[in-house]
Amino acid sequence: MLININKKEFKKACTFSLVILLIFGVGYITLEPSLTKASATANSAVNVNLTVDPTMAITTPSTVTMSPNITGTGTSTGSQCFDHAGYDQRLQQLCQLYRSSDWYAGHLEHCRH
Amino acid sequence: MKININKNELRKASIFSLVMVLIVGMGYLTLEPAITKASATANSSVNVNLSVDPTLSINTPTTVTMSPNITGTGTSTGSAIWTVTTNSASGWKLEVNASASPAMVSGSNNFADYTEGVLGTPETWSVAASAAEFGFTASGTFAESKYTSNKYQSFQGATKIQVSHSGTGPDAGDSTTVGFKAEVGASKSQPTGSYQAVITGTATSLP
Repeated sequence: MLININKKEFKKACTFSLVILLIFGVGYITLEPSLTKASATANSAVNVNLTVDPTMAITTPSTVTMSPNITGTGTSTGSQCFDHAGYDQRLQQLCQLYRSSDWYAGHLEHCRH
Repeated sequence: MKININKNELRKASIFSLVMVLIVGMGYLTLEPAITKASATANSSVNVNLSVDPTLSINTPTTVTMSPNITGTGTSTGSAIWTVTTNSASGWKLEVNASASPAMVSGSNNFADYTEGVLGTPETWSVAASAAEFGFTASGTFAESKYTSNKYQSFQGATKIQVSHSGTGPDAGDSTTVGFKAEVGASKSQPTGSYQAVITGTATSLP
């Protein structure tokens, strides 16, 4: 009895079988340890705390020479910024408070902060 | 007809007879089943199997307060010790992960996770002047060799990073120290606050 085999179909069947075999093979190799042997797991958490404290630096202003000179009577004005570096929320809030005040506005308007 | 019986001889004969009766009687009682009954014998064996599954436990380290506080700029360090106990003959592994990414946070502020040159490859600690970063290292007999000489790396959120292992067991209590380090660079203005990282250690027995 002769059996006709379609070459394309045969190739497809072979390829399909090979792929299935590979998938199962890789799956087995990957999962085998966990399938055949029991394992135990435990965990615990720890809190790690870190405090960042406030720091602040402030400039030493240059000498303020009030002007004009008072000759006999009259008025004289002068101003200077106390410029802070670094980060300090309280000082920032204070500056913001001063800026909202008309009285201080003129005195601080030329400050960088 | 009269029979003369010597009393001593009679006593001896009686004792002898009694002893003989006892010996024969005990022999009969012992051997009787085998003598009087035919027997057939057969045997079979049974396998008795028992599996001892692995058990494993890990301690909960106490809260780590990093020291010193960072005032403006500088570094701060701390450490936690995890101890693994297991009956696993193949040993165990210890992994760590953070509950957040970045790990060290205070409200909306944070320290960036350490930026090693090659992600996942520990390196000598170095933080840019403009950065604030938080990382970790591991030490102890079972620590991975990549952490040798205080090499640091970053946490990667929930991703577990293996820090130590033992290939043998059972282990009555193997410890691994995980060191934490944070730094605010010289030109970095890091907001003040109480920062916290929650770090989880997970131990697993090896198959």
